[in-house]
Amino acid sequence: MKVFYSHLVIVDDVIKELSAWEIPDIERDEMHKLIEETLHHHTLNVILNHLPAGRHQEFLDIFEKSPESSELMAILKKEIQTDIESAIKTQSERIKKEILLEIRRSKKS
Amino acid sequence: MVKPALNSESLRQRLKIKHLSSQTLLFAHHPHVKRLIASGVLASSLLVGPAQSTITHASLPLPAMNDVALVSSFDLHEAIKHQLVAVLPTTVQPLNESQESDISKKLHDIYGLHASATLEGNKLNTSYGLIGLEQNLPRFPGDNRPNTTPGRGAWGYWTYSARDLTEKMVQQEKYYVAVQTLYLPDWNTRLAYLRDWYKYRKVALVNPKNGKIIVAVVADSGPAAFTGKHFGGSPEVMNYLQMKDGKQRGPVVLFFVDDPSDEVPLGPLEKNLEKGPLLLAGGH
Repeated sequence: MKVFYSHLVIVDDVIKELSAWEIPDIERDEMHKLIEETLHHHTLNVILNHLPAGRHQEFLDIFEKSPESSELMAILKKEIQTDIESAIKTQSERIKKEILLEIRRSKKS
Repeated sequence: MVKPALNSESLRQRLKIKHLSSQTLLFAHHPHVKRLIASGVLASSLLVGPAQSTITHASLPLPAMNDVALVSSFDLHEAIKHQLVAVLPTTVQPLNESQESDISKKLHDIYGLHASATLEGNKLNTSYGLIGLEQNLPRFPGDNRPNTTPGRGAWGYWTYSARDLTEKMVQQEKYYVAVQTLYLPDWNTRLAYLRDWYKYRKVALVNPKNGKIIVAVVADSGPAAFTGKHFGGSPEVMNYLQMKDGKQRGPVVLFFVDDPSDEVPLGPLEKNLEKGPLLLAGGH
């Protein structure tokens, strides 16, 4: 399942970094899940911080039913004056940078 | 080729903290999204490369939302800032009981602080007003620090000798505010009681523009109504709240702190008082 902002939150570089290390499969899977959900939380936070509160309910109703719907981005672009796609990208890049740093910090010496 | 080893347990813990932090931040800002998390909409939707396992979220022993401290002072500030947007009117004006009660709850939820607009039946004419910069107050006769008022504060000197100045007094003067007790409707009729009640009364001030919060004491009366301001703040209070708009004034929420045991420290509040140390330092 994809969501309407999947094209803005690219996690391939994080996954690639993680795959370079020797980690048991079960732990790797768990880490993947933690990383993607962390990015989701931050992305949704950015979106709702920008979207007027009066439109949250409508947005969340559609998101719950059809998370991939292009209607969602259309709502954001209509209701938010700033460049929301850029805001999502910037935040996800920042979080990915933090996650990559955590991975490198965990290298066994 | 053999892959280099990683301290996977350490990384897993770090990622769990990040995950928990992001979820806590999201729920603090937007509690209505909890249903999305519960419905699983936000699961397994970004990763399209490697094969996915069927590992379940239930395998992660994460504490419940209510047991989690927010992660950094930045997050705390952002959380209260966004919460206040929904409550405060667009212009500075006295709040109604519902708004004040709502803010009290948010201060407790986010900062673990018990603060309210009315305490022990006492209430200022407004709990949401403009604050302006004040000078330092003389703590004892001859306290000639730079930028100190020539006259005493409304409650006089803290002590009559520099030798008797305690750390508590230093902190009280450092983090003081002036409130308009002189305009209270019952100030003249209940002067003796109110004068004692307000003396060094602990208050919390929140700058709704940046979410910064500081605990101070009432140590002076004012400012005069003609100034258009409702509160005054010491240089340290104003500096922390970042009231630097050129006019040296700005909107602030000011609530009484319910702290009968005198346990809430004066100064910037950058953690949840009931949930202890931050889970994660820095990161923002």
